[in-house]
Amino acid sequence: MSRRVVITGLGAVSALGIGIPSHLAALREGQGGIGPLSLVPQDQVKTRVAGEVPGYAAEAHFAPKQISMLDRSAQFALIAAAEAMTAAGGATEGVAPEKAGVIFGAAVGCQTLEDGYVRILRDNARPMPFTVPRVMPSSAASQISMAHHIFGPSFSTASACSSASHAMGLAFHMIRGGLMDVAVTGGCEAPITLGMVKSWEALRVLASDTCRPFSKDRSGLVLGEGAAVLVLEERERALARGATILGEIIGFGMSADGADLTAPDAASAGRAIAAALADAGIDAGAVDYVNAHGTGTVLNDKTETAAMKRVLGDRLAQIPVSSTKSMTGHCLGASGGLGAVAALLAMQHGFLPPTLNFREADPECDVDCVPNAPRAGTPEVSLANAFAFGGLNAVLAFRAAG
Amino acid sequence: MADISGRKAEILAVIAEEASVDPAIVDADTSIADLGIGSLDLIELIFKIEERFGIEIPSQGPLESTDVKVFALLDAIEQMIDAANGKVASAQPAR
Repeated sequence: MSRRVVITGLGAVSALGIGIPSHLAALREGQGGIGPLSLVPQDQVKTRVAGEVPGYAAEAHFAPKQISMLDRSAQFALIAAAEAMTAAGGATEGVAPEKAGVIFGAAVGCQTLEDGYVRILRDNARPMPFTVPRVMPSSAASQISMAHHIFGPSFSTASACSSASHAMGLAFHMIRGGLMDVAVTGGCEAPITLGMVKSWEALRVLASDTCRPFSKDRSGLVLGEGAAVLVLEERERALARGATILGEIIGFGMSADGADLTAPDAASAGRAIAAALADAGIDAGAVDYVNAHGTGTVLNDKTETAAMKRVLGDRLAQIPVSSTKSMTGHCLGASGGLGAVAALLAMQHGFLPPTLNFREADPECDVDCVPNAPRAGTPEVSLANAFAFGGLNAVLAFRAAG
Repeated sequence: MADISGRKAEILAVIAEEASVDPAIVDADTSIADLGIGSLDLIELIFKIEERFGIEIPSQGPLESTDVKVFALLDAIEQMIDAANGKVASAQPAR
């Protein structure tokens, strides 16, 4: 009997608030978090909305000495990791040092990098002394390992908007394969900076008004920020120590488009979904809910629909498929983690999170996207999709706790 | 406390602030490490002193390790400030 991998701790930070309780409330009540852009000077950008963490003040969570070491992205990661580890309660106790690790989505310390350039180019000064530890994409993995005394395999995965999903999938496979017993995994991102907003504007994929996944009048994505953390454990061990089981990861599939940088490929995305189902040993008929990548760009949503049709076939018509990016914005390297959190909370608490801001059906996106209001539902098996720029796809399959 | 005044007192104030201690506790035997300043804190401290006094502290020298005595450090930094002011009359403190 192969080893099974369960989730025993969850943590989240996003536009829906700080902590799982605020995420659960917002997802269950359909209260979105996208609002006015405030982190970037209005006169320098066209963008007006973002998914900012409401009322966030670093000083409320960290001492000044810690803040000097932590980009905003790593701050979110540490807050979510602390929540997840507290919820898991002693997840690493008694585990051999080499059997607990942190596999975490990479995030560049964007604000730190930009602040450094402002000091160099505008102020004729030097970057702050801890610029390197703040900007390195593995910062969050390092900081989590230090904060929680984790001594085994720890590193970051980089695949743009799939980073968290690749991290979670790899952690899952490493535990299932016996390389680890416990993993802290997920992703973080804090991309709402002047340079990043202007760069995303230059790419011409930002929404003109708001994020409307699967709606015919969708116009693009809305940037969001945050972090999501899952504590994964080998199931027998978690049961033996009496941990609360929040759900199970049963499959992970990956693929690369190997083609265009920004235009997604339905065949390739479909291969990732199929690979996740095969890895889980289930067929399309078992799937009850999909947390879609659903960025709200014209191309993503129709390609994702086509990909799901290829693999899920007739079953797709009976599967609610929602994009919680309509509530959080697109949190890039954290988005796969936040999607997983949404799917796990839905299965645990018996509801289907909505796709907000939906106005008009699109024949090319003919999925039941749970438009505008949450519904009751008891999904047993859920998928969480992540299809990144650069064609790097990662799909996870989850099962509700027994 | 020894007779620390003028610019040395200014330098000591920066060090004491970094360590969150009262400057009055520092005596001839006190090392940087004794003030609870670790290697990472030292990087930040060097940065602050450099910015404040417009000098460049070399990587090799008195601030190489946290074992250095605070008083020895004050002497060394004061010399660096004097040298910087003497060498380049128009030197502006970095911002």
